[in-house]
Amino acid sequence: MRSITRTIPVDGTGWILIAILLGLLVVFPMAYTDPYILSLMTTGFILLVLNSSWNFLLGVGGVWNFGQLAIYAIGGYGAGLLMIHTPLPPLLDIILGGVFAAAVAIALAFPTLRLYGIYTSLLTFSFAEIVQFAILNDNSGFTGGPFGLPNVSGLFPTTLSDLWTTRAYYWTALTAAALTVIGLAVIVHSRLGLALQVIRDAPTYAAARGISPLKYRVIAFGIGGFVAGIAGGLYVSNNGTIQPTVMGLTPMSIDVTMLVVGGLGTAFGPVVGTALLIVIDSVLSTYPGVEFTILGVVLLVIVVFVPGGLVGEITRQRRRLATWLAEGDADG
Amino acid sequence: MVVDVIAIVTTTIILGSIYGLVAIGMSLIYGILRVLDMSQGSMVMVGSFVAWAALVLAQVNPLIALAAAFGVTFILGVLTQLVSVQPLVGRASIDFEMVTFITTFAVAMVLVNVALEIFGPRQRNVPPLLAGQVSIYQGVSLPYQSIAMVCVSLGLMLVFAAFLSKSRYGLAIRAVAQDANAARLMGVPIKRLFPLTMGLASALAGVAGVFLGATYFAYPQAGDLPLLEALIVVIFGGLGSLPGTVYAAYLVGLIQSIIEVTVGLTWTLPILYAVIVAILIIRPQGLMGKRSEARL
Amino acid sequence: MQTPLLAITDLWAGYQETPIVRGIDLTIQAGETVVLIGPNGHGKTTLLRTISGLIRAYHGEIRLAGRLITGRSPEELTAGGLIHIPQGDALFPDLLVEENLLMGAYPPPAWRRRHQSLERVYELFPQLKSRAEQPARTLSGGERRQLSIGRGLMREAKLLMIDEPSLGLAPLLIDSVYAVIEEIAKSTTTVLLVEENFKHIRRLAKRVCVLEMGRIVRTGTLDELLNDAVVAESYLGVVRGPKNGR
Repeated sequence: MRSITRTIPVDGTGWILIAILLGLLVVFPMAYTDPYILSLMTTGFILLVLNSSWNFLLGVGGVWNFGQLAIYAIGGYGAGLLMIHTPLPPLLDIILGGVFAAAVAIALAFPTLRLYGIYTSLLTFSFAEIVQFAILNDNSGFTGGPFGLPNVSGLFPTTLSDLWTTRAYYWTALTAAALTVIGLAVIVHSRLGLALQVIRDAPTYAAARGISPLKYRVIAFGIGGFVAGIAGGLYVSNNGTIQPTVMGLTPMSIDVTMLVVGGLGTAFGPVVGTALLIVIDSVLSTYPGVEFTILGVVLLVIVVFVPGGLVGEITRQRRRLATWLAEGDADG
Repeated sequence: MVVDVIAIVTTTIILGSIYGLVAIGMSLIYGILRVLDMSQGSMVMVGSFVAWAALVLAQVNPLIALAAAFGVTFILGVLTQLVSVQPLVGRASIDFEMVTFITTFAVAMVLVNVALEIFGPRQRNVPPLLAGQVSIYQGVSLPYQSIAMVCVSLGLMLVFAAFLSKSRYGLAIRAVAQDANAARLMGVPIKRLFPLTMGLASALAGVAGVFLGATYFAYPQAGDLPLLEALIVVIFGGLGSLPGTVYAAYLVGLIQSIIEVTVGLTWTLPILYAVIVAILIIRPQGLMGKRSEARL
Repeated sequence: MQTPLLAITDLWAGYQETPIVRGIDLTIQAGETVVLIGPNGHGKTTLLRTISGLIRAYHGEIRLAGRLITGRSPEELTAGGLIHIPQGDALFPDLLVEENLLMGAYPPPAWRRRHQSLERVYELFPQLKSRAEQPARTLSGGERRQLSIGRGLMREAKLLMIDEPSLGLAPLLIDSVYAVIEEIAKSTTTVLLVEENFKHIRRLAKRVCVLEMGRIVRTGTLDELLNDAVVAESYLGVVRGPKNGR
């Protein structure tokens, strides 16, 4: 365990803070029982899983993947359909949904290798649009078309009270989010993560060192796809349904803003970004015009003035402080 | 059958000319600035709203509406560059193309949603720029407006091509696209050139917006489809290659008109998307692209 | 004492946070021809790029004819007669040869005289004239160098800076390029040249500065430097061990 925790650049104080935060979050639904807030936070955790996976591919891998939401939806639909049509335990369904999403993601990985950055965005985005269109126009009843999957049974037996069901989903999502963030952070700081970053920043060097872009891109898409698929599965079981609108331009704009505001490519950026924007979104959702105007402005301001996102900026300032302190020591 | 073919041909020419305007702008911006400008679609939308406001609210004549749309989108384009691209130029340790993709996308978000707040989601009817039509075959008639649109579009594209190849400023633009630092050493004022180029490209999109608005409607999401079409055209034609872009514009227009005549409008987008995916998988360089760098 | 054409005082410059030029003082009088020599990577090109404004200096002053120009952009400076012919040609590959030359005359006063300037350049480099309608990327190495220099001559130069005109060229070509440079040096144009090939430096320059580790460590005439064994061996490739090749 210690060797894992050593790889992430979080020091002792950092871990204590994280432990405290997690502790507070776990205890929260026992003290505070407003279902709206709890389900908002649950949604936030689920989005955090999704955003972490997207951050992994976009920020760390440097892949212009704009189809992540479709992968998320595929995982969700996969899990949901399994829940409806098979007697398999729902948790297994979610995992299988993740596997299916990973498979689709890996298939997508291959053509992206030959493509110059922007073209990848077009490919992945078009793919997402096709998936969305296909589902929207499905009149066979299989996917439920624009109305979404009908009545997906959830993770927990219906004998539980509403409050306990809400809490159960909350804790499930929280666990998934915590595992995802920490797990991906470990991966990012492992050799795999290093390889991905080298491929992103210095492809010729990577080639010279024998780092295979194919192998690593497939792995990256596989991991990113699996995690996004899990998020989808969590979504469908939490909400009892899933609709094609989860992968539209609107949610994508929000998610991109979450990633950028938090800090693209950082381990904890998605946490900050998701939290912040969930709040903004819930406050402004009745005024979409205003909300998205503000999001657009926020996106611009952050990218131009605080390019590392909030987490990136904090890291930068801490480093400057450390350097300044060190210089002080050297002089004195 | 013949009617269908005529419909296809005329729609191809009309759509191709309009997309050509938007796509040329996009290609130009990419060639000079290395930015994939996601706000081009919203400039089309702004153009159509300006036309609506000019023709319906202010009741001026179509030429003034056209000039107004050109002017407004030109200024917006300059501002967009200054706000979303210029601060990022020369910044190390960022993926310039990805970041500007996001910032121009953010500008589009702002423009679209401001329009949504001001005008609401309703589609506004833009009155025809020119009345009347000419009958060209049994039952098929071509509105004068469409003919005028094609002429103006083609005219603009030709003027633009001449500008690029013959004028001093056009030469400078082409030089900057190939080596910006060398151009600076020759005295080319890059800090001015960049915003002006983006303004010009946005203005072309604004003009296209007037035409599209007059053909269809003006509404906040009106720029989404043109943006997509422009992206497709630009990939088909090879980013940064202007002649390729023009050919690709008519090709995409052809594809779209065939789709519209055969299976209907709702299938336009998904089929185009499928085409993009197919091209990107089979022939990633696009139609005319062989080099990965942009040349004008 | 007249104002020097170029006066550099305690200049520090580099890329990001790495200083390459570390405190250079240099004065050049109008009409002089000065050559900079020194090992690769020690700041010769960086110095030229800082003077012409492509790089921002961290510290120090650069004055052109008395006027402070540190921090000004290349666009402004070239219009004022500071011409930088960069290392490696920096041509516009898809523009025609003639278009490349015309770009050299971009600033309005130069543009008005472009036809005369074009004729003059074609006289100096007849090979360019025969290739006038070809894209620059189809040119051979020697022709590219001619084009790059010719382009620099399309504007009136108060100070002409040339970065390694002999780089990558075969000896015969170097001779022909230097024939032109010598003519320019003989005229009233002030020339600052970065060069490693010492055969041509001798005919050209009275003053040679040795730039090492971002500083000018020696100045003198070529003969004085040749007499200094260390300099002769390390930078001028004079016998005693392997030639100073690339």
